[in-house]
Parts: sequence; structure tokens; C-alpha cells
Amino acid sequence: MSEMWGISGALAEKNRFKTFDKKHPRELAACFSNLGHIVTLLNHYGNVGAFQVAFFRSEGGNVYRIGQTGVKHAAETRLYVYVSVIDHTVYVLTIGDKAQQADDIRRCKEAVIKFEKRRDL
Amino acid sequence: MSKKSTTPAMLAASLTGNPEAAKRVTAHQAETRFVRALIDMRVAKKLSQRELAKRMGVSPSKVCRLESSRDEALNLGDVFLYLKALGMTMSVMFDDPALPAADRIKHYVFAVHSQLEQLQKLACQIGGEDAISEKIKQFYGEVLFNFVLRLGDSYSKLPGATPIRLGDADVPSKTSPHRKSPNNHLCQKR
Repeated sequence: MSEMWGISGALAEKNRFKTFDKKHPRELAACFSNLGHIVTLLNHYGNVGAFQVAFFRSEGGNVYRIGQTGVKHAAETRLYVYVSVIDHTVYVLTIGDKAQQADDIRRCKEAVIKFEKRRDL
Repeated sequence: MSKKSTTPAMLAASLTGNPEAAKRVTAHQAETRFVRALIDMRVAKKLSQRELAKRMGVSPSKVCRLESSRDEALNLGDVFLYLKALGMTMSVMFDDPALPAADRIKHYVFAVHSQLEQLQKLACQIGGEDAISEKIKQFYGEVLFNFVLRLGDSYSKLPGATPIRLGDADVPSKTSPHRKSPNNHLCQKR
């Protein structure tokens, strides 16, 4: 039996989550709820390529974004995660809105490269 | 922060420093349980949203909207169409929490009986010698075993009840009594 997928906040930008929760608590909750669904699908299918879900998109470099669903008049929200096949872990990176996405994606990719280098040493 | 013991709700609370965040995540999960089940069924059938939309005769954005909504916002007609496109049917069970527990349990028993009857009809159509028919007979035994197990478990928790011993019970196998006395008479009557 393959190892179960888990989640981790070890690489998360904590301050961003605190700030975002104050501004958009419903959207933040929806993103984390959808994260749970993604982990369930990963446990069932083993890899991200095996399923297509609208709120889960690749941003390249093993960075994925999870959007909010089921929130009326929602602010477009993206929860960025790093899907690590090596240790079967979904690392939560940061959260942001559509306006900040280019900068968020750049920072997330940098964080993942840094983490992978450190891990491979 | 151990990854194995962390749930999305716990992680949300930990990262925001706000326990309310966990409650909101749990509430969202409860409010989208049905939608998630729909998505899971589409994924299990290896269909993309675009492919499903084509089968439904709607735009992909409509499927996207449906899968992004909350359970209470779903349209029954859309759900029916969605399931039909997946090659599935829908059965609705109305449940009145105001009814006594006994009535609600009876309701579920009748529903299970209805499903078993359908299975029995299928077995009769196939005939007694087929491997599928044999599997169905075996499944009946498993249903009975599981039902007795759970009934016994609940019963033993009643105040003053004597625990039911199921030590000698076993899940029926191919060498179970079913083989010795198949319920073929049920088929012959029809």
C-alpha cells in the first residue's frame, strides 16, 4: 500500500494567512476545505495528473493554486501549495488574491527551488 | 507541525492563529459534501469537465459553476443531467428528523430491501450457474453478517443488555451454506 498524502505548513508565509483571514475569512476557509478535497483525491489516485478539478491549477514548478468555491460574492482567492511527490506531502505556501498573483507565484517558485535544493543536499 | 496529524481545518487555525478558521473550514466541508461527491464520481469515470459538458449538452463553464457551488445552491435538474451524463441514475430518499427513530430505521430497511430485490432479479435473469450469480449469493451473506454485527454492537450498548457473542460467526465464503442450499426457489417462483 502506498504512503498516504499529508499536508504541512512548514513552508508557509504565516503573516499572509493572518492578514488574509482578517480580510477574507470565508474565502480562506473555502480554500483550505478544497485543499482537503485535493488530498483525498491524491490519496485515491496517487498523483495530480490523474484528476482534473476546476479549482486546482498548475502554476509550473510543482506549484499549484487552489481556488475558493461556494462563497457568494467572493474575492478571487488563490491558496498556493507545493505538491511534493518524494514525501507525499502538500506544502501550503501562501495565500493571496488575483491582483497579487504574479508576485505570489514568483515567490512560491523561489521558495520551492530553495527547499528542494536544501532537501537534496 | 506533523503532517500526518494535521487536517486542513487544524492547519488553517494554526497558520491564522484563529481557532474560528478551523470551524469555518469544517462548515464549508459540510456545505459542499454533495458537490464533492459529484466531482469524485466524474473523476472516477475519468471524464474532464469539457467531456462531461459535451455529454450534458451544456457549456464547460456551466459544469465548472456547478462544481464550484454549494450543495444548497444546486439545481435538481442540473444534478439529474450531470449524473445522466455519467451514466448514473439518482434515487432520492426523504428523511424527516422529526419522525421517531424507529420509523426512520424502518424506512432505511425498506430501502435496503428494495436494493436487494433488484439484485435478486438480476441474479434470476443471469441464472444460477453463472459466476456473477454466485458472487451475488455470497454478497447476501456478507450483508447479513454486517447487519448482524452492527445490530449486535448497538444492542450491546443498550443499558442492561447482554452482549451478543459473534465469536463463531464468519463471513460466508464460497464454501458457505449458500452453496449447500441456494435460494433458487426464489427464482423459480417468478
